[in-house]
Parts: sequence; C-alpha cells; structure tokens
Amino acid sequence: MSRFFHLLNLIFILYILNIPPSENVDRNNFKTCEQSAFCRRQRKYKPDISPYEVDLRSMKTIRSGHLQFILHNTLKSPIKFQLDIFTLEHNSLRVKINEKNPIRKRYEVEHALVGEPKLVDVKLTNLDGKQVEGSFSKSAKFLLNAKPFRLDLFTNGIFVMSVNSKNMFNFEHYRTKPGTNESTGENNTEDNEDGMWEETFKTHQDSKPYGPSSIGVDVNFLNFENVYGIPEHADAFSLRSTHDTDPYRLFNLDIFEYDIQNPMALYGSVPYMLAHNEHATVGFFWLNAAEGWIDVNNDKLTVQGFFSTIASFFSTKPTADKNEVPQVSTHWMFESGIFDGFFFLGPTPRDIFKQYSVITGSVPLPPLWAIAYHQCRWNYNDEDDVRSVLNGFEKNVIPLDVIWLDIEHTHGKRYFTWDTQKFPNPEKLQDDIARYGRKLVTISDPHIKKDDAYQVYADAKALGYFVKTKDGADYEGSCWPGASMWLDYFNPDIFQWYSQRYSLENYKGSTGNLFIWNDMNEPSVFNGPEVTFPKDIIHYGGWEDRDVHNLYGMLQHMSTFQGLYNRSNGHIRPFILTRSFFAGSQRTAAVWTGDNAAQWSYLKIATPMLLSLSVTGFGFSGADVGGFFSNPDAKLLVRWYQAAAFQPFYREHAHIDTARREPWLFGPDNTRLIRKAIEQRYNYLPYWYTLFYKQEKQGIPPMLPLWANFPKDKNVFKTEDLFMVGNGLLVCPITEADTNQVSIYFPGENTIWYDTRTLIQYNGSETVLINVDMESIPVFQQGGVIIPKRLRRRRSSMLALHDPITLVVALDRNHEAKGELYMDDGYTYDYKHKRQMIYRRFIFRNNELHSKTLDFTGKFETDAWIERILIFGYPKNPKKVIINSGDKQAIPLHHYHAESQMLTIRRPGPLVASDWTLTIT
Amino acid sequence: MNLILISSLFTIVFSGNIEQTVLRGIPTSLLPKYTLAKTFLCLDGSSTIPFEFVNDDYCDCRDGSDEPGTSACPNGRFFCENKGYIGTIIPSHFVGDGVCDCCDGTDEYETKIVCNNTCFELAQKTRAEREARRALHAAGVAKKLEIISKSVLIKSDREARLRELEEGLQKVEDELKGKEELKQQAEAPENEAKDKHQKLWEEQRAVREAIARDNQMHEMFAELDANNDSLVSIEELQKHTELDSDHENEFTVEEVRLILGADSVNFDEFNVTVFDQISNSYKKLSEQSSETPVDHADVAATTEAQLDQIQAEADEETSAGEDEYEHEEEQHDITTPVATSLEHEKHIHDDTVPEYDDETKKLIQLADHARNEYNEVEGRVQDIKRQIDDLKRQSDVDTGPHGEYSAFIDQCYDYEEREYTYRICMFKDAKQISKGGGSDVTIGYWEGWTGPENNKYLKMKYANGATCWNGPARSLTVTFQCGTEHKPIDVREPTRCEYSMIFETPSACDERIATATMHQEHEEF
Repeated sequence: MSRFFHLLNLIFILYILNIPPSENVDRNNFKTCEQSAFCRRQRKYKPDISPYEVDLRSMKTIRSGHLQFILHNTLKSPIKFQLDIFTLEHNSLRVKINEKNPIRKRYEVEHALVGEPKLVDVKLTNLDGKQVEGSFSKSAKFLLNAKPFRLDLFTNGIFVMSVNSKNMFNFEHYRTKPGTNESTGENNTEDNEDGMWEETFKTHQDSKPYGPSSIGVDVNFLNFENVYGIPEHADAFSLRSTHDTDPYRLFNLDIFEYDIQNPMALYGSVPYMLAHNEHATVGFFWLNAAEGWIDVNNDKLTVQGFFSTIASFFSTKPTADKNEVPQVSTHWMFESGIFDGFFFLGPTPRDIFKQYSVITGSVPLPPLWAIAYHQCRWNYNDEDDVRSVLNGFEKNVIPLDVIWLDIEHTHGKRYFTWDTQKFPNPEKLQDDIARYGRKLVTISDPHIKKDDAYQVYADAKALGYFVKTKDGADYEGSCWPGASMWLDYFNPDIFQWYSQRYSLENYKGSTGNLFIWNDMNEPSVFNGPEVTFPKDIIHYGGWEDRDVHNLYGMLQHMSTFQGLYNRSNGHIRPFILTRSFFAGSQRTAAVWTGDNAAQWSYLKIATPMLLSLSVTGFGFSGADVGGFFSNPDAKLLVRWYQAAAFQPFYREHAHIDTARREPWLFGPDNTRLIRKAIEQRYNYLPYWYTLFYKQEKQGIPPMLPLWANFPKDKNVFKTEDLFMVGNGLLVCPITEADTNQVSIYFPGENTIWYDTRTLIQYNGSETVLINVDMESIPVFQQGGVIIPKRLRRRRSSMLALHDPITLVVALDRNHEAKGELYMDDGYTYDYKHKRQMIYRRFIFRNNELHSKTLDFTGKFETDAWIERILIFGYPKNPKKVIINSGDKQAIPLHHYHAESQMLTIRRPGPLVASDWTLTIT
Repeated sequence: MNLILISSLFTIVFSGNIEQTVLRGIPTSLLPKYTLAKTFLCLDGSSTIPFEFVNDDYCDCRDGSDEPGTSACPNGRFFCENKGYIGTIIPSHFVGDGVCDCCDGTDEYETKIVCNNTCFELAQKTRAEREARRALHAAGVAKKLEIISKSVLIKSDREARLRELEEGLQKVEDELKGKEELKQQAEAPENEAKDKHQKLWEEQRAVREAIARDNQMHEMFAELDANNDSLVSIEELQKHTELDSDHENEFTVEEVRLILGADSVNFDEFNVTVFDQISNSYKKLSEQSSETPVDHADVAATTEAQLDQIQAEADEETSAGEDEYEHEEEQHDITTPVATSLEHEKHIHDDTVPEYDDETKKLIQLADHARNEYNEVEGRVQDIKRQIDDLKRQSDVDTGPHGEYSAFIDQCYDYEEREYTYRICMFKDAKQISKGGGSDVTIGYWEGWTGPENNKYLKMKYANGATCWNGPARSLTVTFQCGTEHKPIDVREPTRCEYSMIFETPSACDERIATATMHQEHEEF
C-alpha cells in the first residue's frame, strides 16, 4: 500500500524526464547523432581518399598468427598507429588498431571475451610491397592494402567484407587542449571544433577533460543485401537503411516507454553485426564499450579500379553492362577506446554461431525450471498475495515454475532486505514455494540507497566502493530509493564484495531456492544525463564512464552470478535475469526486452527483437508476456502467451498500475486457452532443454531466424514474422486482433511441414493460406526431425523430471528423420563435473528407429521411459512393430490413422537411457 | 491425442515390467465399473479397451478413466483412501511426482520418497478446526440473533418515532407560520423608520459636501489668481504643470486654454467649467517647491503603472526581507502628493450613518425579537426534517433479509496499518487516512451488496472514490466473515486503487455451521 510513495516516484520520474503521462517516449531526453559531438564529426567524415597508410616494411611477426604493422595518417605525420592482425582458429580474424604512443592510454575492453582467442598459423603471400595476403584456418583469407589502408576478407575464396573501402576510417588521437601550456600549436583550429572539449545536453555538462578520442570506420559487406544484429533496438530484424534516420545507437539507457521501429539505443549493447546471403554468413564484432553509432546503407559497389582486379572473387559476377554488385555498407563510430575488430568468416550460419561463441562464450545450460513458465508482477504485495497466486495456479491446473518479487518486497528499496511487515517469514515462504519444485526470484538493482542505517550502504561507503565524480567525490544520483550511489564493479575487490552480498549469511531471508533479477543496471539514474551516469564520472583504474559505459550492467550481473555460484560452492546452476547487457553477458545471465507495452505492435516486434538477440549470442531471452505497461485485452494476452510459449524466456510481467492479469482472470475460456499455451511449453520442454544443451556446446541459439536453417532460401532472409525453434518447429505468432487466416511461406526445397494442430502436410517453397482460430497459433514440425516431448501434466517442470517421453517422428520425403534428447538432473553442475547426463540420438531410416547415445560417458540415472512414439507421414498401416533393446524383445501395439498418416506406437517401453531399435514391418 | 483403439488391432500386449495394481486410485463408489472382465468401457462411454489397459500407465480413455492410479492421463482422478480421515479425490497428475498429496501417502506408491501417514493427525486437526469453527459460528449466531431482534425493535421504534416526528413537524410548521406573520408585522414600521433616518442623513451630507467644494474652490481660485484680478489667466494656470495630462511635453498654452476654455475665466466660469477638471490633480505651488528638486519634475508623472511596479517590487522585497515598515513609508512618500484632495473627498464619504433615534431603536428591538423567535422555530423545523431524513435513510438501507447487518447503521470502523488508517463508515463511504500527515483519500462511496447470487450479503462495494493519478477511481470491496465482533481484520490493494477489506462480524455467522452436530462430522471421516 505504498501507493503514495509510488506516486511520488512516478511524478518524480515524469518530472525528471519531462514526460507527458499518456505519451510514449520523449525523444528530446535522448541524444540524436547531431547532439552527440563525436557522432556529428564522424558522420560527416567522407574524404575522397583515405589519408591512412600502412607501412608494410614495418611488418613484424610477433608470434605465429600475430602480425604487427605501423599505420599512419599522412595528414598528421607525427601520429603513429599500431596495427595488429591476429589470425584465429575457426575462420576468424582479429584486427586491432591503437595509437602507438598515446599521451593517455586508451581503454581496451575487459570482461567481454571468454578467454584469450587461439591463434593459428597464417600463410603470407603476395608481398609485393603494395599489399599483404594471408591465408589461415579452414578457408579464410585477408588482403591488406597499404596505400591507402584497406582490409579485404574472403571466405572460401569469396570476397565478403572490406574495411575502409569507403575511406571513412578516422582515428582521433588523444591531444593536448589548444591554448594550454603543453599544446604543440599544430592544427589548433581543427583540434578545437565545437564539442571536442566540452559539450552540453539539456542541463547536463560533459566536461571532456581528455578531449576528442573517437574512432570511425566503414565496414562493407560485399554482395550482401541483409545485415542483422547490433542489439538492442526495437526495430526490424534485417536492419534498415539509416540513410534518412539517425544511425543505430549503442549506449545502454533506460528509455521510459520506448518506441518501436526506430534506431534509438535501449538497455543493452552488442556491437556485433552479421551478414547473410545464399553463399555465406559472415560477422563483424567491434569490441568497444563506449557510446556507439552505426549507419547502415544498402548500396551498390561499382567494380572498377582495384575491385575489378579481384572481381573474380565475387560470388555473383557483376553483369557486364552494370559492373555493379549490391553491398551493405556500414559506418561504425565509437566515442573512445581502440579499434578491436573481429571478423567471422563463416561460411555457414552454424559456423558463425560457433565462431562468435568461441570468442564471447555461449549461454550455459540453464536450470530446467528457468526455461519453464515464470509469473511476475510489480508487485506481489506480501506473503499472502504470493500464496494466493500460487493457489490460483493449483486451482486452475496451470503449471508454474517460478514466482517473482519486484522492488516493493524490500525495505524501502534497500536490496538484500525484506519489508518485514509484508514478508515476515521469507524462508518459510521459499520452502513452501519449493514444495512443488518451484523457485523464487527477487530483484536486486545496482543503486544503493544513501542511508547510513543501511548496512550495504554504510559498508560500501566506508570502504570507498562507490563510483566517483570527476572531482573524486562519491557520485550521488537518484533512483527508486531516492538519493543513491552505485558500486564500482570494475574494481575486482568490489566485484568480489558485491558477490558476497548474495551469500545465505549476508542476504538474510534468502535460501537456495532464491534467484536474482538485476534491473535498472544501464544504470538508470533518474536525474542523470539521458537518465544514466554522466560520462565524466570515474571508475576503477581512472577510466571515465565514457570508456566503459556499456559494460556496467554486465559487471553487475557477472558479480551476481559469482555470488550465486559461490553460494552453493559451484554445485547449483545460478539463474540471473538482467536488463542491461553487453557482448559476453550471455555467459551469466538471461535477458529480456525491458519495459514493453500491452499493444499488438509490441507483441509483433518481440520476434525481431528476440531474433536479433539470438543471432548475437543471446539465446536465452524473452519479452514480457502481455506487455509491461497498460492492460492487454484477453485476446492480446492469449496470443502473447501462445507466441511466448515458443520463445526462450517465458515470463508474464506487468506494471504496478495495471490491473491484475493472472491467467485465470479473463473468464473460463481464456483461462483454458492460456493453460493450453503454457502446457504446450511444458510439453516441449525436453526439446527446449536439448536445444539449450546444444547451445552451450555449439553456440546455436534455440530460437532461430529461418535463414539459419535454410541459408540458401532467398525468400526468408528478411523473415521476421515467423521463426524457428531448433530445426524442428516453425512458429507463426499471431500479432493482429482479428486474424482468421495467415499466409505462410514454407522454407526449403523438398521439405515437408506438418501442422502440429491438424497434421496437414505442406510443401516447402510454397506459400499457403493457413486457417487460424483462438485455440493455438500455427506451429509446424519439419519433416525429417524427431522431437522429444512430455505429454503428461505436472505442477512444475521439476516434478516431471523423470516422466516418460513421447517421441514425435516427422518423416521427410525419404521417410527419414533424426533428432536428439538431452536429460540431466535439471539444476546442478553434475552434468559437467560428474557426467550425470543422457544425450541420445534418434534416427529413423529404412523403417527402423534407432536410439543411440551421443555421449558414452554420460550416466544420469533415471527411470524415464519411452511411453509413446508418434510417426507423422507414415504411408500405410504396418503389419507389426518390434522393439529390441539388448537381449529383450517386445511387440508393442500400434495404431494407424490413415487420414492424417499418423502411426502411433503404444507403450514401446524402453528406458530413455538404453539403446534400442524399433522395426516396422 | 485421441486414439480409437480396437482390441483386435493388437496382436500381443506388451508385457511391461510395471507391477500393476489394477484397482489403484478408484473410489469405492466407482469400483463396480471396474469389475474384472475382458474389456473396460471408458466411464464417458467414448471407447472400449482391453481390461489390461486399465492402470497400465498409458492413457487410452479420453476422460482419463482408464488410469485413475497413474499419472498417464492429464485429466485422470486419483482416489486417496485416507483411512482415519476423509477419502479424497486428487488430480492423477499428482501421482508419483515426489510430493505427498494424500495423507496416507498412497499417491507416491512408486517414487523413492517416503510419505508419512498423517491421516490421524490430520483428522484430529480437522476436527479441532471444525469444532473451533462451529463454536465461533455458534457464538456469532447468538450475537447475530440479538442484532436481528434488536433490529426488529429498532425498526418499530424508528417507525413510531417517524410518525411522532411527522406529527410534530406539522405543529411546528404551523407555529412557524404564526411567527412569520409576527415578524413581518414588526419589520414594517422598523423599515419605515430606518428609511426615514437614512434619507435625512443623506440630505445633510449633500449640503456638507457642497460647502466643502465651495470652500476648496475659493481657496484654489484665490491661489491661482496670483495678480488678484478676479480672473485666472492662462499664464497663471500654466505654472501648474501637474495639470499637464500628457506629462511628457511642456504644458503649452494650447493645453492650458483647452482647460480654461478661454484666455481667462472669472470665478463663476471657473466654477462651471474648470474646477472639476483640475481638482483631482491640482496642487499648491508651495507644496510643489517644498519637494526635493529631482528632475522628474512633476510627481503626477508617476503613472499608475509605475506605482504598481514600485508596489510590486516593494512587495517582493518585503516577502524576501523583513523590513516591511520601511517600504511602507517609502510608498507613502510617493503617493501622498497626488492623494491630498482625494483624501478630503474620502473623508466626506466615510462619514458613518449617525445613531438612530430612540424611537427607531425601539422599533428595531421589537423586530429583532420577532426575528429571533421565528429563527428559533425554523431551526426546530429543520432539525425535525433532518431527523426524519435520517430515519428514512436508515429504513431504506438494505441490512439483509432479517436486518442482520442493521448494527452497522451509522457506524464507522477503523483498520490500522503501518502507513494508513482505513476508515469504513458503513453504507456511506470509506477513507484512507495517512498517518504521516497529508489529506484523507476517499476510496469509495457506498454502492451496494455485491456478493454472489446465492450469498449476496457476503460482499459490499464502495465505488467512485478519488481518482488515481493516471488511473481509475478508487474502490473498495468488503468481504464479510464470521467473527464475534464487528471489526475489519485486513485491507489490501491487490491491484492499484482497487482495495479489498476482510471484515469480521457476527452478522456473517451461519446457523447451519453453528448447529452441525459432532455426529454429522464423524460421518464424513
């Protein structure tokens, strides 16, 4: 009942943000490129000839796979740059450019990479003094042109990427301020452009004591028409041309009521872009944590001059009369740091996922319950409220795994505390929740309430653990609790100390069944410039926020992860949800798309947003079901539950001002529909869990764009209204209120698609009008794929851990299919450390279904068995089905439904862990 | 997946290694439907299956009736025998999930966990709870009956009182009529005398004013006529620059002539055409020269707007600092010169009406008396009307079929919470009163009973309270439960601005629960 305070908060935010209550985001509160001085400078930098040249004579081989050159700007001869080229395993190349002798060290990003990338030998050729060519790894090649500096990249002999072919490479070296004693006096006017040494946005002044330091570079994707990635933006999956808009912006911000279909920055930043065409998938990742802007343009490359000499490398030959190939040219601009580019040369989508995950890490296998259904609200008011919501799930027979507590559960937004009036006995509450294998997630934001009586604050204050202003004082800003300070996680001691706040001893009232949600960690500072930290505040090591801004949220959730990991001595898998993120965040946290709204358009944009996250490493992501702001009607809510059942992170969440929207509050029929959607999620959990395991191993996200499975099908390169779960399910969210039919293009040649609702078969490469009712969204299983399911009902995923499995075998045109099943205890690291897991491969071929292990060392004990096998597309009623497992033989009953061509094998019976063969005669 | 299974389709039944307890999970009443035979007819009649399929851990019937003892069917129902307690039906998906749901533990026959048999303790606990509940309802019902019988008395009292009041009202209204006549009779001579007095005084005042004007005019004329030729000439008047209406320029001959209407005027002409034009601005030359010779030579140039500005500045400074008095004085210095003649006039108008003569005073006294008497009776009429309205409102309130809720009439109850006191005034309104200061917020006005059809008096609603910021109007739903006293025991806000209160009252106690015998209870175990 803290409405009053809440109201104050809201009024305060509105006051700070100057937001009229009924409107969406006020764009005036956030910078445009024109208002960000370095973007303004870099965007207009378009010389006819690049002044940068590589001194090839300076080449040094530091060690095998590491070459070093001197690069200089012919217009500013004294300034030298160092160019490092690292040839990496998995068709990957790293290129670093830094000032050779900077007057101030430039920031190089830490924490993002999973480890030191492994070098591979490079074979150098073409050393004619004008360029250097290097071949490395499986099928990768680079060509470094000296005058001007340009870097071309090839995969399998195809020319795919070119750096600085548009002459926009522009590296602002650190310099002394004109007019000061030390200044050399050179180029004074040029060094004193507007906004170089100071800039003001609204009432906030950025003191910029180190002056200009930005870097711009053009990276061009030759013969590509579609690029993807660089989340987070509420925009199309295939990135749009920014010719008539601002560039896409990367700067972690809390945008209140964000708009969709625009390139504004959001909560997280991953400076990683992919390009895909029917010949190759490639990627470019610039490891930089400063504010960034990226222009995207679809244009044509005229093949003349230099390019004509390498025209033979183009996958598509330029036509004789036009001499043009399409390209996507991109222009990247960061405010500080160094150029640290990774080029991933594929050539397949799978290779790309692997290559990026080798560098930044993959999403580790989450606990099983974390990929089941989550119920959240700002706020479940007290223990009784939580219990009554749990009861609602029992009463309405809806499975649930996790219930969440937002900020109001704390004692006045002091994280690691409880409002003891409302939550007098949190341990007991967690024990009760855990009775059905369920978990509790509590929120823990990075702002620390300024209150000497609050232990976390008092200790951190005494230890000097808060982020500092440029003058060295503790930086103070405002957030939910009012006056607050922020921990400087960049300091390893503070990182460690914060992680220890999560120990059962320090976090009173927490138990092993409690997990964590890190919100507001961009960070959100209500009275800061653009609602975040001023850029000139100082972090550990003397780095300005300008240098490290986009890492802040990641460091918080990494520290949280460390805390939860240590809490169980590394035995139990942590779960953390974060709003802010950077490349590498995927190793320790799931993400969600923040504060969306209860509108059809936000349900629709969720798919492209999640696809953008998926292809850039964030396979564990979701959007708030129902929409965070305002009230969804029953239809929208049902459609959202249906769509999100097939998206990786499945959580219902709502703003404190909204009406209650637990699944049973919309009448019996809608309750039934929501139950059905959630149960569908639970039915497919064995498949999801297997996909998450594959993600950990191979970096392949569970939710995929169609091109990832059908890379040669040009019709799906822009598809964002359909997506795939693994290679088995094609999902079509319904994102309009009154839809009776949808037009669906089925990807792939010679593929078959089975409508999971009706078993009607559709052919690949055909567009079909599909009927839609409220019962379910259209979901199709691809012929050729075997999907493991659990069709039994349980109260939570953990209570179904040992339940029998149903195999759904969808046959392709050759009457073949294959699939996998992964199982373990669902919550510990024993699958890793003790090999307590089962990983099976199922193959259907020549009327035989085989179950074989994919991991001979796996030994998870379970009595789970195969209770049912459904074979889709089976042509006729067989005489007999025999199953052999070891020396045992059985003849299970079968039933054939001719109309739908479905063969059902009743109780085949073998244990999931055993090898067996089913023979149909 | 709905399979239509025909037994002839199956050649051999897979002899699974699962030990079947064929009749597990079937309630006694349904056992006759599961008699050992060749086939089993699904309870919904949807299909016939081999009897071996019953409880074989595979779902064959659409209604789940073939698998009461396993978790195979999503819609199956498992019967816990619960010896020593009550047999209960639980969803069959609770079977074998590692959670003990039956007190006899029979739902977990296959899992590794051990379920203690808690039926005996549960029975005891349930019995104790039921007894406590029965006792509570019994005590509550006794109070409820008191309320009901009181309500009957109150109702008849109220009706009698109403009749009494209505009769009384008639009498008092008659009396009021009489008093009104007397009042009018006394007021007529009073008004006449007062009018007369007023008129006399106004005449006297007019004479006084005329004399004053005349004196002032003579004085002014004498002063203006500097050469004593009984004429005021242009030159003589031109010295008085304060009379220049456009302030900025010189006071030209033309301008002066415009005022005089001629080159010079004698006293009579001055009286008719000039005096009224200049009397407000006019100032003696001696007064002008005594001023500090600042270059805004004429003070009249201080326009009203400028004055306002000075005033505003002064006000501002005053509110900022504390030297109010000083500023006030300054203000006077500036305004005094222009106000001289005005003040004189004001003095004339300020003259208060002189005291009435004794005769008039007497008449007033008589009229006052008549008025007082009238007002007193009118007050009584209003009072009776109010009482009648109250009684009517009370009898209009729906207090339940037997007046169970009549004790709530005109009662308010408080619920204390950390930040707020919630005050509900029954059949009227509900408020949230902040403990930290701040104004009260109305969270709803009485709307009606909103319980379900079979129990309308279970809930009441207060709606259309103060509107939430950017949200709906607040409302409160009160849910009643049996208790021995009237008191709110909980207030919550499950959704923003939608409050819910739990309220204990004997009025919600149930005779059927109160009179349930132990014998009946036993039967259920």
